[in-house]
Amino acid sequence: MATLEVLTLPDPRLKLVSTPITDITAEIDRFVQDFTETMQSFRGCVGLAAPQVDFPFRIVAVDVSVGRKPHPNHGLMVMLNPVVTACEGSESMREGCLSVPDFTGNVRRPTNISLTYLDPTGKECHLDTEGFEARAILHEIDHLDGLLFLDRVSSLKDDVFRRKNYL
Amino acid sequence: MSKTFFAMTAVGKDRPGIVAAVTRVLFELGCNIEDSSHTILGGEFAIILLLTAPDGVTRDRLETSLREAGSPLGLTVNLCAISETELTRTKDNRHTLPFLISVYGSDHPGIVYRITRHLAEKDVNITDMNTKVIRKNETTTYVMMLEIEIPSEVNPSHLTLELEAIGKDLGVQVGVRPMEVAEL
Repeated sequence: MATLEVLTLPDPRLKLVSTPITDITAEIDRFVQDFTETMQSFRGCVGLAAPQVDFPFRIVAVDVSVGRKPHPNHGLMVMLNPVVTACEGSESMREGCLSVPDFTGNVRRPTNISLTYLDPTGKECHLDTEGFEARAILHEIDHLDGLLFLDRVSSLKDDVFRRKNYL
Repeated sequence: MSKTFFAMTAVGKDRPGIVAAVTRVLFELGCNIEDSSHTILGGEFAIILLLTAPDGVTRDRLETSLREAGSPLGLTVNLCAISETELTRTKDNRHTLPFLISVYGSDHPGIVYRITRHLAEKDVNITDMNTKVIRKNETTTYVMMLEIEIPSEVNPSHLTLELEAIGKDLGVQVGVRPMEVAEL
């Protein structure tokens, strides 16, 4: 087990579109362990995407249970090839990202989502979730498509903030 | 090569060409803009720039060049050198929690002072502050949003009650809420 290095802006690898997983190999298994451990090594961090640690495949991890405030959640989930199948509502909230270390931003995202994904054993799963957990998943899926929260804000002046507290 | 950091401020009547005039001087002297903030208020344009200058560019030389470029545009330029340790020290290193304060009500003198005096007495740092005046017909509403860092020695619910009491005294609404950031 090892913690992996997190890429930060302006690394061009963060802007690449990640490749779907076709086969859960031993390498993927090992990666998922290190990947999860990496996310857990940052206090308060509730999500990570594989391309953030220079592994350009469609894998995300979220664990909203470790956030600073309680939110409804499904605990730790590692998702392979996540696809959003439905979304509803719209809500704005301040997001921070390990790959954009000095800033946070107000990002508008759907409130309720449905998605399908494979768990690390290859089982097909379906999830309906909302609020903070939905936001975390959508933020991570954005990474798989080369999108950062900076691509989702409408104004640097009104929506992007310099961090005052560092993780 | 060691770099010297400078904080530059410039204020003047808004008109086209201000940013270009300032940044031309910086570019020609080989300075790099590390960060900047620009805003306009009542027709006054204000710039704060954080910049690094290469060896050999002294504070005096930089200031003279900036003033020469700025004066035809009616710009008042000020420059001060800052050390790298000062740069990092400006971050609040205490253990604090971020909160938002919103204040609104009919406009009158004293709202900003009474609220911020209380924060200062409690050693609460203001990290961001925005105000707006909304005029509609005869009434003028003053809106203020503050981002603050509450040190661990201060109880947020006590502070909220105290600020609400001050708001009541001033005849304005005061709301305090924790600022939550999704860490992803």
